[in-house]
Amino acid sequence: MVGNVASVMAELEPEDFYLLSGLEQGMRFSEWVQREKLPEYAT
Amino acid sequence: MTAEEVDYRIDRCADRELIERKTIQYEGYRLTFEGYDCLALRAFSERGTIEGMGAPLGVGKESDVYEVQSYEPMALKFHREGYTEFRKVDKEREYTADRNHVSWFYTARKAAEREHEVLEELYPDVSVPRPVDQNRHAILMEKFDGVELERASLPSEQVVGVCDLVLREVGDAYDAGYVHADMSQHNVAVAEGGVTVFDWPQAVATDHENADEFLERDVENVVSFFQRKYPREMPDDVDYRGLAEAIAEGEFGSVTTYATR
Ligand SMILES: Nc1ncnc2c1ncn2[C@@H]1O[C@H](COP(=O)(O)OP(=O)(O)O)[C@@H](O)[C@H]1O
Ligand SMILES: [Mg+2]
Repeated sequence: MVGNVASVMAELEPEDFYLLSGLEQGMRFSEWVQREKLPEYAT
Repeated sequence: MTAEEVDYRIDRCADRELIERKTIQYEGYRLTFEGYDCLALRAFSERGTIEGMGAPLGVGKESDVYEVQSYEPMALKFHREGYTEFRKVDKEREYTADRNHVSWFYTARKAAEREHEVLEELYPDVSVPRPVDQNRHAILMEKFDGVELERASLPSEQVVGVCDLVLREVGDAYDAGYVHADMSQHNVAVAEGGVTVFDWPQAVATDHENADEFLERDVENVVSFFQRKYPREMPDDVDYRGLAEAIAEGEFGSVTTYATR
């Protein structure tokens, strides 16, 4: 992401960060997080 | 979030390569390092410690470092420890199991926490970048001036003096309780105003059982670099062990005292 990290950050919306931090939560328990579990993590 | 909202967010984040998908066995997702970078950046910007991103300052063995805007220009280091290795292992086992899962996030975050903690202990007694903030795998610190020792061309009359300055920092760090354990021409910067020693995540405490071996190796790395690059100014043979012992005892004066011929 060298060079465009700033532009990506500028495009992201609060809900995108919910998804990212939901994945971060889920990844504490497994390397991959099942799609079905995402709605509950991403709150 | 509703399932539809999740679908929409997944697409947006995947398009920007902040997350990746696997479809074997089940459909799963994980963050990429870029996604993790965004989470750390978001935390810094919410706390007000970072206001904007700047140019890359360096790509190290295990990190990406950027200039960032804070109340003054600073350096932001994203740790990448464990990532390359993790990628390799992951390929080999072809997405089979979640057993023995130690994420690279954990390794990289631990390294950042450790580096921040060591900088806080050493600053300002040792010439290290002043630590400012830490989140996840990222540390924010003062941006140092100068160039890496490796790229500096020191005038003849300064060679021994700069070598002594670097060794004095090694001694001050020892005095403060740490051995760097990866000292080299790549982790020291030289500027008009002096030297800065950076890249501390692997530092060991002086009461670690191998601390003195690490110290001797650090001393040898520094001095032998100066000997190779500046053979005319530096003594041919140096008693590295004696020098390391003197540094540990706080009795170091100049490298020239430890020339063996
Ligand atoms: N505080 C800083 N100010 C300016 N440049 C820095 C700073 N910290 C790191 N850098 C640059 O980034 C490079 C890599 O940083 P380093 O801490 O040595 O990480 P690595 O563990 O990847 O070697 C350095 O060689 C230097 O060029
Ligand atoms: Mg380095």
